[in-house]
Amino acid sequence: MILLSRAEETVLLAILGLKEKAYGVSILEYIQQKTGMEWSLAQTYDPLKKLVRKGYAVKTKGEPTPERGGRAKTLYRLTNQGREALVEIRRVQESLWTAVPKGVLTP
Amino acid sequence: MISRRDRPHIPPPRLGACLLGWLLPDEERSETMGDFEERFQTKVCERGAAAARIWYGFQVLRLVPYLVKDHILWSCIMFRNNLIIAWRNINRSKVYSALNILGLAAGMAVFILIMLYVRYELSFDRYHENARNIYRVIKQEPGAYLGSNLSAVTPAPLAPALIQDFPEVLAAARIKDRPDILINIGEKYFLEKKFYWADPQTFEIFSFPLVRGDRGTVLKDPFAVVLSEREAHRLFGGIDPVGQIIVYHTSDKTFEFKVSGVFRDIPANSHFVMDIIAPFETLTKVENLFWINNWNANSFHIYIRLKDRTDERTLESKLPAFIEKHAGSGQGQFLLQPLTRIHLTSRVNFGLAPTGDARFVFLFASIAVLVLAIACVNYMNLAIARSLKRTKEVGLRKIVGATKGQIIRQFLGDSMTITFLAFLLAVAGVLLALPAFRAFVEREIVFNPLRDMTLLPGLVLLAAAVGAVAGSYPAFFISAFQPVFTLKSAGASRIKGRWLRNGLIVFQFAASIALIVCTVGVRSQLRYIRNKDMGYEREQIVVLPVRQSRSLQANIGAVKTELKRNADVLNVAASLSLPNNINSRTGANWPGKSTSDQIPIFIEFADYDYLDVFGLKIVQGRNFSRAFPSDANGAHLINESAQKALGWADPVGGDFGSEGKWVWPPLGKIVGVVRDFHMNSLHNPVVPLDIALAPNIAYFNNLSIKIRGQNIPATLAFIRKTWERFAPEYPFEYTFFDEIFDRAYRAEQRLGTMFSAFAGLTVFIACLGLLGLASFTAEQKTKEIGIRKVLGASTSGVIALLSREFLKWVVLANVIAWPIGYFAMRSWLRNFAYRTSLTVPMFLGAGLAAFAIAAAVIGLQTYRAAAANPADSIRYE
Repeated sequence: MILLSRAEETVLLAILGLKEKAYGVSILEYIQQKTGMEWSLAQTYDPLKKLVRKGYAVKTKGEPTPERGGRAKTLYRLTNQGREALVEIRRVQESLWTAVPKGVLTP
Repeated sequence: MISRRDRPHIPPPRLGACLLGWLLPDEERSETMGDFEERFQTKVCERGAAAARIWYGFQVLRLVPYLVKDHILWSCIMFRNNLIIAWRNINRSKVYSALNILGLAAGMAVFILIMLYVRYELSFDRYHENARNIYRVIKQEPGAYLGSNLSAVTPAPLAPALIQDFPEVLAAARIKDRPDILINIGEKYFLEKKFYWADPQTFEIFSFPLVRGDRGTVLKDPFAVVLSEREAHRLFGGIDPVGQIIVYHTSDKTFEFKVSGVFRDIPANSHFVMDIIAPFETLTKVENLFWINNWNANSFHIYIRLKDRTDERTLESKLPAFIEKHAGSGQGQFLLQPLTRIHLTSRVNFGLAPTGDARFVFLFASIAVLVLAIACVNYMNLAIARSLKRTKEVGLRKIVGATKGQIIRQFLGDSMTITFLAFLLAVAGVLLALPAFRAFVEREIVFNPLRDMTLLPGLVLLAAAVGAVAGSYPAFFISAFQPVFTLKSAGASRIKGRWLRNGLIVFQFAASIALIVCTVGVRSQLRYIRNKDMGYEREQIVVLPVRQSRSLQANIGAVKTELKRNADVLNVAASLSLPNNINSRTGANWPGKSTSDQIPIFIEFADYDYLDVFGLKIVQGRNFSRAFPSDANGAHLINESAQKALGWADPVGGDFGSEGKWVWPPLGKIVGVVRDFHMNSLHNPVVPLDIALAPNIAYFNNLSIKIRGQNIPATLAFIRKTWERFAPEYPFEYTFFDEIFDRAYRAEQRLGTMFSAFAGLTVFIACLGLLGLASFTAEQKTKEIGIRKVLGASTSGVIALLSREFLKWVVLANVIAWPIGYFAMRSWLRNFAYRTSLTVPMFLGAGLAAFAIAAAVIGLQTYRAAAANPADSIRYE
């Protein structure tokens, strides 16, 4: 299994956190809010597209809103594969972190 | 912060939105633009409209690299896919693909070759740093001489006077060519073909970089010479040439010159090429040119360099007053001819070397375009015919969601692939054909796309353009198929765009037939020239150039006697020119001539045996004769045209010419009238001519030896031995007079060869297209043929049925091609004063030839379909 990239992981976690309301703008705002970093929309599209291609997320059509110029939202949902990928990357990271001897990073 | 509901709706910036919409793929457009707009509206609330607009712009820009990357990725994938399909299509029908590739390759190869030639012709003299400011002074005189009233030779004092009077003239150089100069270096003798006398300013005007020596001083010493690198190598081999002595021979004296410098070889794309340059001023010391500073002696070539941004027209307009001041009136008009236009646009007499012909270049270029167009048309025809086999593929593609654009791209990809293969073949063809082509156009054309930085992009552009042009129509045609029709097999027979395809056939054949007509026309004129009675004989006459060999010239009497001792030598004549090219002209003069009589007359100087050697006929009076001692004091033979122009019923016995040592024509009695002969090429009419008995040997340039038809090698060996006895230091050079005669029509022969080649090529390509179309039609009508045969049609009847459709277009092509060919040939033939006439059989023959070839191609192709067993063909599909 190929591990998720950091951006993919971040976006996947955002979709998970947003539950049923994950779409382009909300994902962006969620990430900005949680990480405190400035993201551009382009930065979210690239991982989103890859996630959909790899089958970790699926798109569904949402309702149109006036703020969107009458365009429909595209909502994203995690697939089971996506969940497994998240679990996997978490496991990998934790095992990596626990393998680091104590006192190496923190004095 | 303002609530969203309270403010008016602000749309996102239009430019940004447009860009976004355009960049995004269809399936993502709605989502992404929605996100952008929502975010934009939030920004408007938070920071105001202006900041939001700027934000929007930046966001769009940040999206660009990501989208482009994606786009390129997908294009590559699709491209690879298209390439695979194109390759499979090529493989599936090898014959068809071969026809296609071959046709395109032939067209492109011809186009590349000709464009190399055209580019070379246009590059003449452009390499000079100051090319735009260099002019040649030419002279315009009333009365055309050999078809032009311009002449490149001007008086020598003009050059210094120009510098003196006009500050805008930076430099002016006089140049005098002296072909066939004998020199020796120690024991070794050389014949210099490109010896020039030139002012030192030559090096300031032209960009002839010196490898050895200094530009300012190299020709300062009156007995200094500069050599080209090539010549230095030829004369001195590996030895350092600078400081070496070269001995220059005139008829009676020798002069020592010291090599003072070496210049880089003058490129072949120059209108004249020099190998040895000696200082112009020394010319008077070496040769007895007492008239050199005479304003009437038009004998020199003058080149000037003007200051940057000088208007040559203004200077030109000041020239008449300037000439009047220096030389008095009646000098004719002086003009400035830009250097870069000398090669292609000059119809100027007495240039330093023969120039190119703009009309020939233009003709060549247009034929190149025509051939390429025919090749493209051929591709279109074949591709469309072929595409009807692929209608199902296209229909299916469309049904599974291919857009029209994608299908267009796919078929363009097809044509690009074929073009690319054809292009490689064409480049290989160019490399193969280049040596022959170089010899044919007599130009040193190089083809090295890897070295030549302007050539490579041009070639790539050519391939891309051919692919796009050839592929565009089939692509649009095919992509417009309705899937519903194409999937029902009935769709295949719904042939759309038939008129266009037939139009393309007509175009191809019209072009081919017009070229055949031109070929026939040019060939017939060449045959006319060959068979026409010129009024002189040209067989078995050996011509020796004696001008170069002064010792031979000085002993001409002894040489003649010696030669005549051989039984195979019938007669020997010495003369100024040869009867096919008499080009010295002067004004007729005779005692008692009134000033109103202005009769230009060509003049030839000859000895007693001239008429006999060349078989010229006397119509009145007698030939020059040693039996009349008075002839030696001056005798003339005039031709019938001269007699007519002078209006003398009985000119024999009359005085002609004027007194003086070097005056043309010299004074003497008219002893006879000679029948008119074509004393120049057939381009020019026969005009008044005077053959004067040469008063001294200095007039002789040629020795013409009439020999017997037997033992020619032995006779030539004898002539050679005699030559070596009298002029051992000169290389023995001889030509047969008929070769000299043929050489005068080399341009016409070249045109004939060119037309034949192109006519053959276009017919070939057109037949390729026809072959494809015929096989396609036969395939389409398989069922029809089967049913017809079941009902009793014969094989030949079916062939006739299938062929008729195409052949009627070939007939139509004839109707279009004939007038085109007729007018083209008529205007070409107008260049000749004596010409063949265009006859109906020529046109019928050309048409018939094209028709026969087309019929043969179609017949062979349809025979298979027509001969098939109807039981099989009805079950087809």
